[in-house]
Amino acid sequence: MKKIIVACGGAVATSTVAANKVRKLCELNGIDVEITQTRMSEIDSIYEAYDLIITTARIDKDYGVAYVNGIAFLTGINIEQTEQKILEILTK
Amino acid sequence: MIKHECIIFEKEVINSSQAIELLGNSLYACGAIKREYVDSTIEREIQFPTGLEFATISIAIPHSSANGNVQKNSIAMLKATKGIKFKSMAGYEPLSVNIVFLLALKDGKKHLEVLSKFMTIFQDNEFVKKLKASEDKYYIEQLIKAKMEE
Repeated sequence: MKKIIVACGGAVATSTVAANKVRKLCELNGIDVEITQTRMSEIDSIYEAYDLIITTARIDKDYGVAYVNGIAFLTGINIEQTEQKILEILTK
Repeated sequence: MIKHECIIFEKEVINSSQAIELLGNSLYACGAIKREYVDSTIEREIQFPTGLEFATISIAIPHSSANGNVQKNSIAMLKATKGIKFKSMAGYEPLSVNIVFLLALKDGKKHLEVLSKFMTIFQDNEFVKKLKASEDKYYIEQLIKAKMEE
């Protein structure tokens, strides 16, 4: 089981859109995941237990955890590359 | 949610705070929001920018938590002849946007609903083309309404 954080400013809308798409991507590829949706400001206190951080806002800190910017899930630009990167990290 | 009274065309060069202010004024005039919502949205835009670059258009969707300051779920739209400088949601780089939507939504559920819809419609190049070409508030109101209901 891989654990993923999906975060945005308010943990309401953009991270939900991204989280739903990540969940679907993992399902399609048979990867077992647990997704935690949170605010950017809460990453600090939970990141240690996770395999991957995805955010739709800018992240200013290197947590030593694999990171992918999830804006492609909103705009559709570079979506294949983003999905590929996520799959590589999760199947590594 | 979007009404022609709250669709603005701007020919001057303005910045993101001025754009939010203009849009906020129109929603305030319609009785959709309290003044506080404009200030909280300007502040949030600095902390969490909302510029989004799609394949054929760049938009910004400034918003903030309602905190009792939103009286009616509404969206105001500003279309600028000259691009308005926002910052991208993804990396906070400067992003010149063509259209700004001020989202004034009462709760998270509505917010998610509108955002999901927006992400789909702004990837539809035919819709974007029509939206970019029109300077008719009534047409734009109908165009967006119909598209949101699809």
